[in-house]
Amino acid sequence: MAALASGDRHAMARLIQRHGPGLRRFLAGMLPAAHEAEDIAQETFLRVWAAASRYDPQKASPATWLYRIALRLAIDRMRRARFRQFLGLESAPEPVDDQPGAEAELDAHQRLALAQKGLAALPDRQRQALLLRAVAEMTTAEIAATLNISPGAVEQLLVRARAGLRTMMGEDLA
Amino acid sequence: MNHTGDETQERQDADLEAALARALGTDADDTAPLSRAVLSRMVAPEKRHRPALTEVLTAPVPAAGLMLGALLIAGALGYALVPGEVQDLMALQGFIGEGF
Repeated sequence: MAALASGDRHAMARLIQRHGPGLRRFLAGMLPAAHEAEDIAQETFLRVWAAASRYDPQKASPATWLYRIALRLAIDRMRRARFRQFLGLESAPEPVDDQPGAEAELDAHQRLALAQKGLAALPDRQRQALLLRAVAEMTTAEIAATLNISPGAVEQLLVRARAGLRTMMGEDLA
Repeated sequence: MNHTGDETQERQDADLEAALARALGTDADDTAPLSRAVLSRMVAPEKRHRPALTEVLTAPVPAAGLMLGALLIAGALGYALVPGEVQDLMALQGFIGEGF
């Protein structure tokens, strides 16, 4: 983070390499539209770049700070999307590629859609806690710091989220 | 016995989370496109763009503020011009009578 604050672009590349995969999965679980998840992932790293000098290691780990920013941006984007939906301005879902050789991609799309459907049925906090554990591989304490709740509450959310997802998805996700 | 049950539960939880992570991004590990996009946006100055209609509708506070300001100015102007208008009307009434 100190390197980022001093304007080191290689440090940003390393940060993206380290947290990019988890962050993209986290946002894919939060936002159903792929382009929005990608957009918010970019925006998150840009915000980190812009605010690196204000980062305080005493208050949060880099991962916690990064995911807090992403979470705020994703929640804001979801609110706007819901309002657009309410106004009837929401764009149509992205078409699935049906070109020859796209079968593997189709399968991946189906799995993604299935996972997103299951996650969407969970309450917001449960979904966020489960995603932070599953894709960001955060500890209970880190999830608690990111969501600003107690570790006990995180454990409860995780238990309920896993149970809810199992009930909805059965063996489909495996 | 309980210990084994806990381990089984933990393994099932880990399997569920791993399956979820797999489903949410088969290509997420390839960070090169994300890295390129972020680094190029860091270099290029952000262009200020006109907000689209959807942006105005979903974040209506600035547009609503402008509209309210315009209404207040129009109201103040109207209030300032009313006495002149009333005098004109009274002159017209005197000229053509009350029967119109």
